[in-house]
Amino acid sequence: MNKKSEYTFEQQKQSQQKLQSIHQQCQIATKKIRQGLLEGGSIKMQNQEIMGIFNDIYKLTEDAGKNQNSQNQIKVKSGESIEEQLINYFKGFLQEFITDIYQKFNEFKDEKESVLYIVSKTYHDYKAYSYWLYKMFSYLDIFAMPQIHTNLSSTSLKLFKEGYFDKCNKLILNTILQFIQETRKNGILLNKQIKQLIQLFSVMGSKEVELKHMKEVGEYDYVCKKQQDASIFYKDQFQSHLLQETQKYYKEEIDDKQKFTTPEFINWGNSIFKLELDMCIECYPKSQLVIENKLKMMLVKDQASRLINSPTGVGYMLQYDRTEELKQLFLYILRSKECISHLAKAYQNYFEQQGQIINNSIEQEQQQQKDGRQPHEAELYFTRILEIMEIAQNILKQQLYDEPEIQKSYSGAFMCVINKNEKSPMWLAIYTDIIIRSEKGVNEMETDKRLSKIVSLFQLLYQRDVFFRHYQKFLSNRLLNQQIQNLQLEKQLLQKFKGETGTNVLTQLSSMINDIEQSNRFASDQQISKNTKFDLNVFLLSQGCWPITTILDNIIKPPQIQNVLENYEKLYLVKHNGRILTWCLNMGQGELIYKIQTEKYYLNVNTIQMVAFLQFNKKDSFTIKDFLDMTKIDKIDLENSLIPFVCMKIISREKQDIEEFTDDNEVLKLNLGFSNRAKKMKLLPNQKMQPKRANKVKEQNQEELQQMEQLNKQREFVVDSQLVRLMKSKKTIKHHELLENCQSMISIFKPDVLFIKKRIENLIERDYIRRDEKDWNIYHYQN
Amino acid sequence: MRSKPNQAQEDIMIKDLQRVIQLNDLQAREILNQTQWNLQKATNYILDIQKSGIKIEEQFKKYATKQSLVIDENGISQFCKELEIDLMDPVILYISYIFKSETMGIYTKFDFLYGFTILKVQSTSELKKVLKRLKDDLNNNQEIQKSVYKYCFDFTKQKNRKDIELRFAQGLWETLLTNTFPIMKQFLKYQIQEKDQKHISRDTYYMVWEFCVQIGEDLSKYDYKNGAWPTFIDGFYLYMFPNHKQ
Repeated sequence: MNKKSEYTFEQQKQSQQKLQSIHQQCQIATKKIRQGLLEGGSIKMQNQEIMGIFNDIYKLTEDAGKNQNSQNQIKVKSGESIEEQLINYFKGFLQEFITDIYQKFNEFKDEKESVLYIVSKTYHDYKAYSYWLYKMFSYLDIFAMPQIHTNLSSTSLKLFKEGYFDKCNKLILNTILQFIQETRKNGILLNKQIKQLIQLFSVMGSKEVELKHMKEVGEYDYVCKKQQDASIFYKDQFQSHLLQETQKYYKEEIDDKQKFTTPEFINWGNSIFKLELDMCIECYPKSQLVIENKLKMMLVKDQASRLINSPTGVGYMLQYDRTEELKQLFLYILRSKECISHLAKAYQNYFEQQGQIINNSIEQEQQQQKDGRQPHEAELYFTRILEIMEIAQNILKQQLYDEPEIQKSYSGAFMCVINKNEKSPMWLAIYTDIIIRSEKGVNEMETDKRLSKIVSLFQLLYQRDVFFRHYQKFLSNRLLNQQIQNLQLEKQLLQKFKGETGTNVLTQLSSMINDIEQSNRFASDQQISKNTKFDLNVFLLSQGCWPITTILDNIIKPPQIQNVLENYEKLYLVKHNGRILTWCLNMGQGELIYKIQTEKYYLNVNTIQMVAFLQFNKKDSFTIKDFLDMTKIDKIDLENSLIPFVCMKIISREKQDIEEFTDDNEVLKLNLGFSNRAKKMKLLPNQKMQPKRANKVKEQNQEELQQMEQLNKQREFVVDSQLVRLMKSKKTIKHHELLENCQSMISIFKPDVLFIKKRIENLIERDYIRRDEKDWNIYHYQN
Repeated sequence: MRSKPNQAQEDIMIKDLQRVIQLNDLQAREILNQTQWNLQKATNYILDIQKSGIKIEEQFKKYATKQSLVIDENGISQFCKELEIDLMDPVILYISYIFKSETMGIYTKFDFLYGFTILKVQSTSELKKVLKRLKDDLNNNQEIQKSVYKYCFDFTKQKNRKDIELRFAQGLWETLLTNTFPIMKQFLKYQIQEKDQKHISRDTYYMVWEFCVQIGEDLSKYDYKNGAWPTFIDGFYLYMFPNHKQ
């Protein structure tokens, strides 16, 4: 026992001596380091020197460790273990240094430049000092420090924080903020040293760090082990203040710049973004996101509406073609994506207005030039609309980068414009007709371009069924006129329409084209035109597909015509047994050769006119009654057919040229002295060569009404079938879901909610669907 | 026994029952329901009513026209007079509902037999005594109100039609709803404006009840955009708030 204590005492003494020697060695070393730091050069330490101390500590602790194992504890005189004492040495050296640098700081704290300098300098020095000290004591990290749950680097940081940073962080913060403020005022980043100061804030919060020496740059730095602690501290102690300052500063700035025009403001704003970004990257990269967001909020989001709608905003830019400014505005607003909607709205408004101007102007001009044979108003209208659409499209593409939301506004604007004009569906049909008619001979590229323009207009149209009703009439006219007939083109266009509306809707139209193809094929197969003297071209039209209301099959045809037609019928029925052919004489056209006074005239007439006029082969004059009896042509048709002849002086009558055939006994005579310089004459019935019939307008109105009613019925049917289809597949469905689905599935026109609701009610009444007993917003399908 | 007959079977049983005595579909269905669709039991029930109803039949004869086998409008006004109620009193509709009478303006002999038996009274004077209870029921019990309201649609409807004329619907709304739901006064005013609508469908008629119960005075609850309200009621909403039209 005694021996043992003696031994330990001996040992204690030895250790004590060793400790002291370590302390002395360290003192010498630290002095050297300090000297080095003071001189500002790099620290020159012999590796040996450090390794010496390290080894001493290593051995000492090793011995102490052994003893610790054999005996429970070895107490050093003051009750501290060797490790504890070593740690205290370490702390002591650091604290000494801290006291020093804090003193220095106090000497210079009145001037911000010096604060900046001194803090960054001393911080750097401290890190260097700690680093070398750490090198010496680093064995403790393995052996002793884990027991007290820390390490040397963290201890060094902790001491610095407590002894230095906590005492002057307010001042440091203010200094930083002052420098930032100055940077903002001058618009240029002046002093990058604040970076070091900011670094303090991002490190001081961490509880566990590792001190590293980056030899290449001669820098020392704490590396945080747990980012979370550090970042909380950073946010609380620095970032929040920075944000506050930023907000305060720019609020005043923005208030000050309210008088700026939109482009001016944007220029200014962009420069701010650039400067701030530079500052972020240079000095506080961790705060880049929040600063950016803050600025976006203040400079873009809060200002967006004002910038866009100001007198120098979007409207102005569009009107005066300030495309570059618009582009800048767009890019500026794009910083805050949700604000694009403002821009989209302004864009839409502008083009809606422009479109509305066109809508109105066409109406006015129409009144002005009623008789001047100017281009058709439909052509005028859509040419203008297309022009402005192109402008809008170009801007969208070039300045606004095809932004999806603005794209929507584009179609929204023109949809609104076109559908506001009630005549659009009809006019588009007319316009299409004009385009197609003028299309012969134009090259394919151009044609394709024009067609796609028509389709782009069609896309915007709500009342597509009305459009098709008119379109059908024009299509029929085009197809039945061999000069204009262009099946390839018609097919192409129809295909495009089909793509827009989905199939099924256009069967009538495609079967019309089909009919013509069939007729042509049949004619060439049978070589009909070559078999007979009479040049005959027949169109075989499927019943119900063509907009033909009157079929005049009971007209008594002159033998010349009758024979040819019968011949054709025979040929046809051989090929297609069981089909029924009826002749639509009012639809056909032909050329008559009229020989009088040794001259030959070519008369372009329709088939009824032909039938009527050929009567004059029998004798030179007839009463109207004769005509009616011989031909069985309707009286009004007869008027329409023969008055052109009267007008052209081929036939003379007793009464005024253009007058109704009221007196059945009136005689129509062939003008035997007829002569005309023009040898080719067009005598087809037209508006000008028709008597004005009082009840015609009424009839037309009635017809219009009837058609509207028919259209409505059709629409009801479309909606009904869609609703039933939906109900059938879903069985049970919520009201608004049914409504939305139904709306989205109908492409041929745009049913409004009221219309669909009425149809739903109708279906309930007809027991197709019923309401749920409890939740009346739900419908069930009735099997 | 069949647990639950289907629609066709039900119809046959109703027809069978109607061969025993002249009664309408509603009554037949109700009685068969009560007897779990046992035709024998139902027949017995009817015969019981008939047997014990000699006194009621006398009452019936008092109001019935001489040549006809029914009570017509004159008889009904006499009936009301003795009950000391107005012809327009809603309670008479409730009585018709209890009688399961099929057509407005007519009571058949079985209506009387059935109704009086259900009410456990033998004569008009006895009926008068329970009248107060009936009125209370009608005013305070929403379930009864609803049943009577719905019943009245069929009661008013002509056999060959699926809807009722607007003016009849208005009559019903005024009699049955205006007291409980003051908003209906506005509703009736709106209909003076509405000229296109000549008929009211069953759905619309039923939904007017839902409107009263669920929306009532507080039109802010009305969901014009997404609600499945019939257009007729939408029209009323727009009449009240013309600005909401889009």
